[in-house]
Amino acid sequence: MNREATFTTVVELLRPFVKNEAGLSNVSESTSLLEDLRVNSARLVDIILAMEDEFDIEIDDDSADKVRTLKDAVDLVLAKASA
Amino acid sequence: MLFSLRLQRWLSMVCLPLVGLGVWMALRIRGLEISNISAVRRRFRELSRSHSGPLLVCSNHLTMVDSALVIWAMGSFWHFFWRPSRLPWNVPEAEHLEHSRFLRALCYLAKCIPIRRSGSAEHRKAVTEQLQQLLGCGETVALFPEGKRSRSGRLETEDFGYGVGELATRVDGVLIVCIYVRGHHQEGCSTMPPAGDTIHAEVQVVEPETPHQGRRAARDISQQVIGVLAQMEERFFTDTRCLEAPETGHQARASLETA
Repeated sequence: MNREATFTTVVELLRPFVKNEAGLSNVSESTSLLEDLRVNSARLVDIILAMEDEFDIEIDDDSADKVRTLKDAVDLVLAKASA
Repeated sequence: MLFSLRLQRWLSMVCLPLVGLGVWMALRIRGLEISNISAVRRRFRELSRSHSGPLLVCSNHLTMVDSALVIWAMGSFWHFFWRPSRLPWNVPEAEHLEHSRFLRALCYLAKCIPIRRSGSAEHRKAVTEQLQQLLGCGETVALFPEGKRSRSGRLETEDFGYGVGELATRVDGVLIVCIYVRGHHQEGCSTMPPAGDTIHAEVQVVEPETPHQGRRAARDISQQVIGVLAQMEERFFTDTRCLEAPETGHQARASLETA
């Protein structure tokens, strides 16, 4: 799975949950979901479920809890997809 | 159960007469009353008799004293004195307690476990585990499924947390009881209910069904609980408010001010 394509897909999955839409205009791997994009922490569960559906993977609770940035999300998807 | 929680539970029971009376008096001095308190308490007594396991009480959230209103509606001092496990544990926002030692002490004695909504995943996980332990020991936990006071004044059916579902999926034998509590003059979110307001409470047991497991099941159950509360809210506005619409102290004061 291509890292760049995964990144783009993850950003699209995040879009409905982002409160700071301006933050999406200059998004990078270091972008924080909670602080930069102001995603509600309760919505992280929806994002993880959306990632599971989109990439056909299963994400355990411990891994999900560690997702803070876009890089974390992309790394997680790539790790689970290749497992 | 953790020693710290056992100690808190014990101290809360020792102080129940003082804390309970103090909170009840504060609500009464504000002129609040619950119109159908006998029926609601009867329903909770029936539930206590028919279900010996843990209760997860889910309520709508509009004021800072909703927990107190829910407890007041649920039972009398003697009800909780004889059934200490039915006095619910609450989970207030820690930020609201930061500025006052008195409030922190009061909340501790009122079986509260403060949570920081903006806190780390580890912190939220630790609080969830404590609640899980309490439910596992047959205790009662009261939560606001919306996660915060509704800013629109109506139930937040889009942006809510899945804590209720998470607990329900992790603990066996939990009975979910929804209670919709609202004053007739409560238009939106506020610190306190309007003075002199008459509160209406409605209770409904939820028996959630889900084909899923894990966090999908938690989301599913939380959505069902919010759905039930939304139906209760609809009934409040279409039936209860129209039928009861009492002339409260609040209205009387408003009339006086206008005059």
